[in-house]
Amino acid sequence: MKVVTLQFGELEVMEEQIIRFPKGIIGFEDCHEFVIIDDEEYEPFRWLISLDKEEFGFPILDPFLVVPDYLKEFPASIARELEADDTVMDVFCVVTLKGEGGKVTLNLKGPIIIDYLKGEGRQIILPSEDLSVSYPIS
Amino acid sequence: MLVLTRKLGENIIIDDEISIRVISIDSNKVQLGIQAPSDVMIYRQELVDRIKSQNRSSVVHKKWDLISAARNLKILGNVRY
Repeated sequence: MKVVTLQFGELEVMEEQIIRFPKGIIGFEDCHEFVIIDDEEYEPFRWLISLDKEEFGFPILDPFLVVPDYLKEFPASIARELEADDTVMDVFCVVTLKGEGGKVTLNLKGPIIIDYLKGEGRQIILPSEDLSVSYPIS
Repeated sequence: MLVLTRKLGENIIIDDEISIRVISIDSNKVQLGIQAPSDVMIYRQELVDRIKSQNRSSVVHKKWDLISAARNLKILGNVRY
């Protein structure tokens, strides 16, 4: 299917690429379908693009690239699933850009968990009070 | 909004699976005990508001902002991969 996005213009999206977010993203509960777009220009950042709202898309990053022991912040049941050798799950954190060519921060408090097998995603809030919504990575 | 009055120790049941009990009452604080299946997320309102606001400020309209950030990350070696 063809999708028009603000960030990439018109995109061809395959059915199997679509990730369903039954509860949307916190603050955007009516956005239920997303795709992850990669473009090597932005590596290691990736894009989570909404198929429901044309202008809605944000950069995401594999948090383990900057916080190697991030897994310890997760509830045991989720950590177990993420750690498994044959895991079909992934974690991403939302990236915020502040100002021109300026600071980049990562939301470590509210990660996004994707289950590729089910084709589903959700955003959760981690319990630790030491986790920041704007952890600096630049 | 449904408003119910509960006394200390009394319960509320939601949807058969979620229950809320008044554990203690202080002058301006109420301690609530919540039981729910593990896939039900329970958060303080202000926490949700914080994530909501952060999500909103993360929506990117101009790709090039991210390109320069990606370049900076690689140059600074902040990301090991």
